[in-house]
Order: sequence, then C-alpha cells, then structure tokens
Amino acid sequence: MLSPVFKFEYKFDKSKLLDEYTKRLNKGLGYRYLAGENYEDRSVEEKDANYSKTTLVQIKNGYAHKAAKEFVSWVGGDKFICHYLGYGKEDFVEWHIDKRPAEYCVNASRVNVFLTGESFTTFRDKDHWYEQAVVNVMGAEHKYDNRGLDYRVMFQIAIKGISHDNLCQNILQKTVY
Amino acid sequence: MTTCVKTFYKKQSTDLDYIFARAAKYTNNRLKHNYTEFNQDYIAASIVYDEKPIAFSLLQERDCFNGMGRVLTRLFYPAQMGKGLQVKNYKYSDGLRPEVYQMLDQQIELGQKLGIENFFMSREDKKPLILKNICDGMNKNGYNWNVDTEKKYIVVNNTSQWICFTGENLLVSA
Repeated sequence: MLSPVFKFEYKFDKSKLLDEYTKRLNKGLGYRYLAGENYEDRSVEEKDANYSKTTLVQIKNGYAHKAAKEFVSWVGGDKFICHYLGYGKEDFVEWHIDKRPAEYCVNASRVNVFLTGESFTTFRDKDHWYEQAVVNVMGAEHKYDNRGLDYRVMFQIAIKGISHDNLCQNILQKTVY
Repeated sequence: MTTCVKTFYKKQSTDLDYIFARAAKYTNNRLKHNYTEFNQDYIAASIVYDEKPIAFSLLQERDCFNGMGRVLTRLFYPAQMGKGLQVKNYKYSDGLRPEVYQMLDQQIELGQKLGIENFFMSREDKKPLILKNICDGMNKNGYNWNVDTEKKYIVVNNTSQWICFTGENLLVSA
C-alpha cells in the first residue's frame, strides 16, 4: 500500500477552474452538503450540522468537465465524475471514509486539486500537505477542519476502474519515464 | 393569446411547482408519472406564461450525457383547443410552436454560459419517426440539428432513447 497522498505534476488551469466554481455558485448551481451526527445523517439544517459542512458544486459539463476528461484520459482511465468542494470559515468534515457514490468507491480512485493554494487533508498519521494529489479517501480515515482558516476550494475527480495504487503507478510511469 | 417565456437557473419557484403539479394531473398527459414527485437535478427551467404558467421544460445535465446538455426535458405544453374544444392538430414536420423555440433558444443560451457546447433532446418512442419530424420541422425554421434514426443513446442509467442534437454527439449508443 502506497502513502494515502501521492503528489504529482500536471498542469491544471487552476485559475480557470476556480472561476468556473465561482460562476456556478453565483448561478445557484451549488448546494450545502450538511451532515448531522454521522456520515449517513445528511440533509440537515445548517445549525444542526455537527458532522460536516461544505459547499458542493457538481460538474457534468463545461470547462472543468473537459479538463477532468483530459486528465482521466492521460492517466489511462475512462469513466469519471467530478465536483468542487468549497470550505468556508466555519466549515469542516469529521473522520470518515468516502463511500459515495458506491460505484466510484470500489476499484476507483480520487484526485484532489486545491484551487486556492496548497492545503492539507488530515489522515490518522498526520496532516498531508499538497496542491494536487491522488488521495486515498476510500481506503483510509481522514478529516478536514477549515474553521478559522481562509476559504478553500477543491476540485475532485473520481475515477472508476483504477485503484488508488494503480493510479499512482500510472502517473509515476507517465512522469518518470 | 399573448405569451412570454422565461428561463432561469435552478431555484425555488412556486410557478414551477404549480406547473409541475398541473402536468401531474393533466387528463391528456399520458406521462403523468414523469411529473410526480420530481426530484431530479436540473440546470435551468423555462416557463411559458399566459398570465399564469401554462407550459414548461428543463435544461438538464447528467453524468451519462458526457458533457452535453439536454434541452426541453419534461416538456409539458398542453395542445391548444379549437372552438369546438377539439384539440388542434399539429404537424411536427412543419415546425414547433413558437414558445417551444423560445424555450430551446433560452436554454441553449444559459447552457452556453456554463460552457456547454453540445445539446440534444430525446424521446422514448418505439421508432424515431416523431423525432425525425421534429428535427425536420426545426431545420425548416432555421435550425441546424441532426437526428440519428439508426441508434438509440443512453440518457439515463441503462435506458436509451432516440435523440436529435446540435454540435457533437457525445452520448453512448445503446
């Protein structure tokens, strides 16, 4: 098993991706992703969210979708979904392992791209800092607490059919040889 | 009849709730179930007003659309009645009702603002004839859409439908 966070080089146009996030959010195409007491307890009121508070913007077309498609093709994948996760000054998510959507959590992998500068994901061993990385959010418990920190926006790509380890190896082969 | 068409990005709308409820109960609507407890995601909604909301459709996105936008989703527009209350007959191949074109144009405009370049509409008929006639009618009225009468395409989970489209067709055939 490789590290839960595997950093890599790839030229995402982060400024353009961030613009897309803002544009969609301003058009009302995002929503608060709130969970009450546990991972399964979603769709609660903002004030009752004790497990997680984030803003989710799903992407199924447009520039970000194209950028994700290009990246997924580059790493040898095919099927993917992607979305943005925005964290405000009072947002957080407690310890969890990603389980949704189910078809993108088995023999699948996740790529996180921070659009607002280097940031971190907290795993049981430590805070892992990165700008863009393959992150094993389906294989290891992790959390993130943005309370008191600056606004953070992450673009996440979920790839079906390539495991975390295999995706890391694919990228290594692309970038080393 | 003086009508106007308004299209807006997804938001809470009592007008949309009203026309959805009407579609779910409308006697001649053979797809009433499609309008009952609708909770699917969509990008934008178009409503036709004749004082009250009388028709609507949605611009929708899904993962299986592969970046395309689907226009005129859940189109509900009751047929006009004649003097004797008989339903007026329409020939799709002569073109669509003007308000449908307005919905179409406005949905494409809002979709393009999100970076969507390719659009389609779909129907779940047994044969592609109706969609072909719709496409022919549109093209007689200045559009440049394409219809595929050979293959159905996946538009929801494992369900396929006939489509006509503008731009590049990125859907997966059945």
